[in-house]
Amino acid sequence: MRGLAYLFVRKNLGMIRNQFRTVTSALFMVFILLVYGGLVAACLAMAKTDYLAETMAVGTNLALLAGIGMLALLAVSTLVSKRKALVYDTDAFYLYSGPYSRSQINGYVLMQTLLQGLFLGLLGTFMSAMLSMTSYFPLRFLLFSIVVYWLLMTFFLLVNDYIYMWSLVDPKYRIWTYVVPVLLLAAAGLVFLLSCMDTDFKLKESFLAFAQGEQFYYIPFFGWAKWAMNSFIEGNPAGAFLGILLLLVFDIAAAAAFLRFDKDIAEQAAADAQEVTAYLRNVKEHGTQPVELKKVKRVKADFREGAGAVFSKNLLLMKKTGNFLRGQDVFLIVLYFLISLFVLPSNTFYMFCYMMIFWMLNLLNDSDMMRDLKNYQIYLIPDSPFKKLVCVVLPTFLKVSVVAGAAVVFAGVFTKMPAGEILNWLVMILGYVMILISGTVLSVRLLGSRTNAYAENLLRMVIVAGAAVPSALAGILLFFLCRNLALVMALISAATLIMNLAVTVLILVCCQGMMNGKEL
Amino acid sequence: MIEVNNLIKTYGRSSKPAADHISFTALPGEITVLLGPNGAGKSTTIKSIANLLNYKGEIKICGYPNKSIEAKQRFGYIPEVPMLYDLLTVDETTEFIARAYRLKDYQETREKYMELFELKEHRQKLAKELSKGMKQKLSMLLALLIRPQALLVDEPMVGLDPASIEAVLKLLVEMKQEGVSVLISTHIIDVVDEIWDCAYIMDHGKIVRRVRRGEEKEESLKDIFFETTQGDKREEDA
Repeated sequence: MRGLAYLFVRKNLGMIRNQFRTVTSALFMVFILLVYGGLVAACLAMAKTDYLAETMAVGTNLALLAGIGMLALLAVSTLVSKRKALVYDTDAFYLYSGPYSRSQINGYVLMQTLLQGLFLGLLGTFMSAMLSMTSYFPLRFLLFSIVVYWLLMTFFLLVNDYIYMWSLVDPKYRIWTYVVPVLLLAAAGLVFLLSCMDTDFKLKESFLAFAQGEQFYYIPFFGWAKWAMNSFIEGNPAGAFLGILLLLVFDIAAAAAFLRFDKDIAEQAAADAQEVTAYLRNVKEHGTQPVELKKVKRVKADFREGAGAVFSKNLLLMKKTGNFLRGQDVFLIVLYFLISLFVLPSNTFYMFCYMMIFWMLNLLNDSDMMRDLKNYQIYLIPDSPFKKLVCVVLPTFLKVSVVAGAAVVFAGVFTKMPAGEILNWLVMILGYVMILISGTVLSVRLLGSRTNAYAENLLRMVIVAGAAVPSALAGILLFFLCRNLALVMALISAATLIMNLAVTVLILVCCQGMMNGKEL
Repeated sequence: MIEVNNLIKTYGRSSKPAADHISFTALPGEITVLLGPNGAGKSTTIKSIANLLNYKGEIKICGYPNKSIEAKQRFGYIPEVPMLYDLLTVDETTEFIARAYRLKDYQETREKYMELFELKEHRQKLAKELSKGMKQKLSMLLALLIRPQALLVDEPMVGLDPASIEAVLKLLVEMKQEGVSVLISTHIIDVVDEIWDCAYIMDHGKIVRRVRRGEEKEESLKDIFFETTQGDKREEDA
C-alpha cells in the first residue's frame, strides 16, 4: 500500500508541477488563483462576522441552499452519468496489472475520492461564499462549510463508485444509480410539499419556508449538511456536531463497504477507464463531446473546390451530427430566456441578450472549427491561407449567428420590443460572434500547442473586452455631443459592429500564416 | 526533388537544435531514407519539409519553396499518426481531399489504391469505425491520391500487418520507378533495407553520414548505422 500511497502523492504533486511547467500556464494558474482567491478574500472582508437572524436569515439560508443545490446537482449528475470509471487509464494499467490486492486498489481509489470530495467541497463553499457577500460568512464558517461539504460529497462519490463496481458484477445493480437520486428527490419534494401546506400554497412563501425551515433537515445528507451549518451559524454546537456526525458515520460506512468489495472487475474497469479518459481528453483539448456513432446521419456529400472544400466538409459534419441546432442549445436558450423573464421582468430582452453573449462563448468551444485550426491536413491544402482560414471559421460563424440571431429576434418579439431596438441588438450580437470567433483564432495562434479550452475562453474574453473599449468610448463621446440616448445606442451598435468587424479582419489577416501550418 | 539547405530547428527555449544545419537532396526516381535513433531529428526534418514547423533554412520541393501552393500541390505527406475526420466515411474523406486539391480524373487512382489497401469494402464506414491499420492505410491513400511528385513518409509501417508492409514497399518502389522523390524517415532499418537508394544517418540533430547504395561494400546498412551512431556514443562515453 505504501507504493500506492507514494504514487498518489507523486502523481498529484506532478499535476501541480505541470501547471507551472511553462510561463504561460503558470501565469494562467496564478491568474485563476488570484481571481478565485480574491473573490473569497473579498467575501471574507465584506461579509459580517456576527450573525443577526432578523436581517441575515434569508440571505444566509439562500446562500447555503445554493451551495447545497449545486452539490446536489453534481451528485445526481455523477450518479446518473453513463460514462463511469474508478480511475484514469494510466492508473488502471498499473493498478490492475500490478502486484496489488483488491483492497489495496480500493484504498487507492478511496484516497482519490477523498481528494475529489475535497475539491467539490471547496466548490460548494465558494458558491455559498459568493452569495454571502452582504450577510454572514466569517473565516471559521468558511472552514466549517468546507468540512461539511467535503463529507457530503465524499459520501456520494463513494456510493457512486460502489454502485458502479457492483454494476460491473451484474448490470442489474445499475438501477441503484437512479434509485438513490429518486429517493433524495422524493424526500426533497415531500419537504417542499410540507412547506407549501404550511404557507397555504403561496409559492414565494413556500420557497422561503423550504429554504429556511427546519423541515429541510429531514432530507437525508443534504438536510443534515444544512442542519450542521445552520446550527453552527446560530451557535448551536450540539446541532452542528450531530449534523457532522451523521455525515461522518455514513461516510465511514460507505468507505468500509467500498474497501471490502472483492469481486474481480478488472477487465471492464480497465476498459471503462480507457473510454472515460479518452472522452475527458477530447473535452479538455477540443471542448467537444464525442458523438455517438449511431446518432451520425447518412447525408450526401458535395464538396466545393480548393479551400471551399473545408467549408463544405464542416457543413457536412454539421448535417451528419445535427450539430447546427442541438436540443441542448435550444434548452439552454429557453432556460436563459425564462431566467431573464423571472429575474428582470422589466428588462428581460436586455438581460437575455447579455446572456446570449455568454452562451456563445461556450458554443464556440464545441465546434469543428477548433479541430480544423489545429489540423495538418488543412495546412497542406494548396490554396491561399487566408481563404482557408475564412473557410474554417465561416460555418461556425453562420451557425452561431443564425441561432443567436433567431433567439434575439424571438426574445424581442415576445417582449414586444421596438423593431429598431431588436435590430440594434441583432447587429451587436453579430459583431460579438465575429469577435469571439476571431478571438478563438488568435488564442490558438498565440497559445499554440499549449492551448486548451479554458485558456482560450479567458483569452477570448480579454479580446472581446479590448475590442469593446473603443466602441464604449465612442458612445460616451457621442452622448456628450448629441445628448440623444436612442441615437447613441443605435450608433454604438453600429460602431460595435464596425469595430468588431475591423478587429476580426485584422486578426484573420494577421493569423492567416497559421493555415500554412506551423508548430502543429 | 526535395532540397533541404541548412535547416535549423530549435524547439521552445531549448539550447540544442533538434535539426542542426541539415542539408540534403532527395532525388527524383530514388528512395531516400533518413535513419537515426529516437530523438535524432528525423521527424522534425520531415515536418519541416512539410512546412508544419517554424525553422531556419531553405527547403524546396520540385523547385518551389515548400510553403508555396505550387509545392503543396506536388507533395504528399504520410504522418506517423493518421489525422482523419472521425465522422467522414472513407469515400467522403477521399472526396474531400480530391476537391480540396482540385484533382481531375482522380477516380481511377482512388480505386487503384482502394483495391491495394483493401479499403473497398470499408468505403462507407466512418473513419472512427476503422481499425488502426486501416486508418493508416486511408492516410496513405490520401497522400497518394494527389499523385505526388514528392512523397514524405514518417515511420510508414507503424500499425500495418506484414502483408500490408510488403504491399506498401512494392508501391514505394513503383513510385520511385515513375520518377517520384520518396523520402522516408524510420528507425527500423530492416523495413527499408531492400528498397533504399540513398541513406542519411542522423544523430543528435545532425546528418552524420550519407551512404549511397553500392557504397556499403561488404557491410550492411544496419552495420553502418550502428557503427556510426554507437561509435558516437562510445566517444561520448569515453
